[in-house]
Amino acid sequence: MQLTTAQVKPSKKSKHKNIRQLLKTATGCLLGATAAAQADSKESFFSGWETDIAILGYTEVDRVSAIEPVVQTQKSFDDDSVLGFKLVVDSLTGASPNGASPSDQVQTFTRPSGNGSYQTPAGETPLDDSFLDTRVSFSSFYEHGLGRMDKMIWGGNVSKEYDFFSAGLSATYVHDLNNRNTSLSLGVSGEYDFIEPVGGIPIPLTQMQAASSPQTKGEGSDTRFLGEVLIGVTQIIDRKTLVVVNYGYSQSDGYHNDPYKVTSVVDDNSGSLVQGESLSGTYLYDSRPDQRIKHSLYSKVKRAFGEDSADLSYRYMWDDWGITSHTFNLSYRKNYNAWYIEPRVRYYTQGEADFYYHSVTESQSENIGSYLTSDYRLAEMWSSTIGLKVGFKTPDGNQNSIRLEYYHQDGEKNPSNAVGVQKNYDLFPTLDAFIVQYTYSF
Amino acid sequence: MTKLTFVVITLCLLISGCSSLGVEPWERDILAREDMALDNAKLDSAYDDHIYFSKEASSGGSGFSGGGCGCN
Repeated sequence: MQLTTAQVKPSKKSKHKNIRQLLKTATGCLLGATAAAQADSKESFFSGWETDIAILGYTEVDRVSAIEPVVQTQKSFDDDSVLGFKLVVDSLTGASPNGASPSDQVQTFTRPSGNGSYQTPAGETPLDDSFLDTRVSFSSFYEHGLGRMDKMIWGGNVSKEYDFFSAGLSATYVHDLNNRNTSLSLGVSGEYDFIEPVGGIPIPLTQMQAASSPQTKGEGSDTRFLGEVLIGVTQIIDRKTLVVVNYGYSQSDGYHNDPYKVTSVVDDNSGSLVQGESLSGTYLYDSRPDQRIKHSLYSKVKRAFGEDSADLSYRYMWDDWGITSHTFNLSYRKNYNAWYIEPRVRYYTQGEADFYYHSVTESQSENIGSYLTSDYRLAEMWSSTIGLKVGFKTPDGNQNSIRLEYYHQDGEKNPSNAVGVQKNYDLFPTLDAFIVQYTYSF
Repeated sequence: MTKLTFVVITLCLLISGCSSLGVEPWERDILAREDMALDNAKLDSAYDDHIYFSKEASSGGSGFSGGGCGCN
């Protein structure tokens, strides 16, 4: 985990002071800081908050679009403790792959609610265009010293969207040594998730039914628990270089299926649709293990080059579903007097889960075992991001930044085990997305 | 288990080897720069975590991996 370096804000000019003060006070009130105000005088409590407001626009080509505004604020108190709050609103709409593979025929699918259906033309990736959700997330943290060389960081968050609720707590202990050149940290966290899919929880590996037929749905909701341990070392190497190494272990138990995803069953020879129980095709609901154990090894190097700085990180992740992944990230910040530019590249690659299939043949489906998914996020894939961030200061010293990024995701479009007509189509739903973010810090 | 052993050994070596590294308190001018803070773009990182959590099978590493999101 990364340690916070205290930052000293430059002095402000008077002409923006009133507006800035008003914004800071409003932010403190909006994020519920009033309860803690009793511990301090009203005037001093509302002064000194450092606040970021940001808005992100995310647009996938022909798929999902999202708008995500964020407000976060934090204050350092006289005893060196720090209190922070963050509010996120996330609004999504658009179309998402439902897991079924392209076919040489028109395909009909039932909407998750069981009321109504949608069709996908021959040769196209089936997309459920009813994806619509709004998420509200609130989190806070409190950091305080434990003697001269130790500190604790406590965190909590709640998040709610239409079909999902999540609440989590975390605690991190940090110990400095070697004249504060080394920091060791140990963190634990727990998260409770409540999943309540539209239309109920599909019975795994049963067929999607036509809207006019009884649906193969079971309970209305399910739960999942996630526990994590994160240990880390942050080391100052020299005047210009910092290194971080973290190891993370997480275990989640409970409902892991994607209730909105299915797998196509195709003819052994032709690769075309197989007549289902009530639909013209056969589509099996997602089925995953009810436990997942993940490990991650993360390292980061930050180094100054004159007035500039570079940030290089690498993450290796592996889990007991058979997935391994590698993530590389490099950014370089070129500093000028009152502004900077920061180009960035990211590359990610992952192997597929043991139970991932782009589709299954009819004979395969009879001996498929307990688990099956066609969720592209569990497939073998690779992605790359390129971006540019530009930051500048207003006359009173407040920071603005604009970030533009392009994300491309790709996978095995023509797998060797494609059957018949499947060889004519792309079996991985390639994704292109654009990200725009504006941030103002005051 | 082999991977775990590797992780533990690596961390031990790092900690023991770190005692000879570092700077004196008066040599922290560059490290104290805003752009040299490890979390100098916390909001960007949080946005990225959310996006990649919803599009890929991996999460966490630099921090906890829980997403508090039903997107994956």
